Amino acid sequence: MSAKVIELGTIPAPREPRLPVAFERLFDAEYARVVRIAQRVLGDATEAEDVAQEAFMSFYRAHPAEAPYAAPWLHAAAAHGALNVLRGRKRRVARETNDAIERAASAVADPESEAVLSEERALVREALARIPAKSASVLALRYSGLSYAEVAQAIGVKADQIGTLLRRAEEALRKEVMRNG
Amino acid sequence: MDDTKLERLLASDEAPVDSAAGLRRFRETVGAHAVRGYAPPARRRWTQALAAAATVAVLFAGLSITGVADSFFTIFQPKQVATVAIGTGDLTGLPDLSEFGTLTVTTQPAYRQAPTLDAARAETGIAPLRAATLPASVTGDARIYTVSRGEGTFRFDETKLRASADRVSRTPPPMPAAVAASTLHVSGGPAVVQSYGGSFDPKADPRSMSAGAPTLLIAQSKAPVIRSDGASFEELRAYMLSQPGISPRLAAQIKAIGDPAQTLIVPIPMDLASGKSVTVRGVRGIFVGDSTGLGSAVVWVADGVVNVVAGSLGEKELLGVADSLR
Repeated sequence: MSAKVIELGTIPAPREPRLPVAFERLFDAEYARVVRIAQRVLGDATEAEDVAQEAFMSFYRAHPAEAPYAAPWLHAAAAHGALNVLRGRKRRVARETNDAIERAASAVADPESEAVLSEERALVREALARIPAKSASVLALRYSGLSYAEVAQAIGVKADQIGTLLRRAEEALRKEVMRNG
Repeated sequence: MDDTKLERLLASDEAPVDSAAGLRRFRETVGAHAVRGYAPPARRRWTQALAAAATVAVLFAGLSITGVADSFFTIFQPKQVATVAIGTGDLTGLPDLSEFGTLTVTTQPAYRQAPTLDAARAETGIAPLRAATLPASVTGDARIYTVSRGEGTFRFDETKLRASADRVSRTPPPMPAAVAASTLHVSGGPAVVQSYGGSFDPKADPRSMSAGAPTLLIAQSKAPVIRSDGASFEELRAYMLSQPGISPRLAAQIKAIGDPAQTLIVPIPMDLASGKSVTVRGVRGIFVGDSTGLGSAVVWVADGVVNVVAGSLGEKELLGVADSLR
């Protein structure tokens, strides 16, 4: 009989499904950041939450919550998931952007500048969907507030490579925006 | 368009994220679609199963008062072994003993390598059984290890249980006064382990054992003894069987064991292994076959010693080794 005896199992709650404590802690610690990463890519809070839920679900099914790679895995999944959504919807976005510009034009004090901003945002997001996935992920992760070290962990490279990757990604995005702008 | 502008354009109105609402939604999805969380690989589940065996043995073995000098009386001292079949749900639903009280290891078992079986015998007082025949796949000499006697106490703690239940908004069955006031004294070993092929390190995390695992283990340990200074076996059993994590099927199997007073219970994960009764050296024991091909084991109790022969061998080979022990 050793101390291992007491490390077993949990008592399931009778009504609501009880998730492992470690998983709930992970959710609590990372959910907001995962949503923000997706939101940087998508520009839409509802869609970003959907992507975050998907990312946590994929992790929940296949990985132990206490895994040391949990947070970087979720960050990368949020970026990839959001980019997939972005690529899938880019035509729809173009239509919605036009609608949004019209709505903005009728609703804000400076309709022209708001409309221009909306259009620019749409263009940048369309460009983000077209540049290589790794570059787009680096931008999404870094712009959502992750440190160089956290971005490096999420995409699986050394931290000292992030500066270069970030510059190249920004250059690629700028070129893509100009090409279509 | 500069980088700052690019970054600004990728920003959006960021309302605060409601993590609690996110978690509620996640729980609802898990519940509505019966999503199964991460399941550990087979080897790890085996580890859980073995630990579960210890848990079940501790909690559900029978009462055999043998007259101990102090205020403790023996509630568990196995003289035979039996299996109960458990499903994955049973395994994850087993109560977490750490929520019920505090385990204190009073004598940490120490293990070390012994040069010969005779030296191991002198150290432990156990007469090691020697294999007269070995399958061709088992090569080389055995490495011999001894494990010294370990002891610990488990003190039930109702306050601790209530605190952990409050954290997950759960109401556990009330802890009976007799249980709440009890301390269990648990002892096990000493033991002798003979390991062929690979390496055996009792201190290593079993989850990390892989290709380097031994092909054959022959282990003998003085049977564990559990004593109580308060609650009787019946009180402990009734209380633990009332826990929501114990399925009716598991409870029924435990209640059906003919001589619970002296029976070491080994749970068999149904989806991974099967168990059956065998006779080893004239004694009734159990054979556990692992359906994943990882290995098998035979366990029997004789003269106060629990014997285990386990390895990555088929049933016939493994029982052949067990029967050849002298």
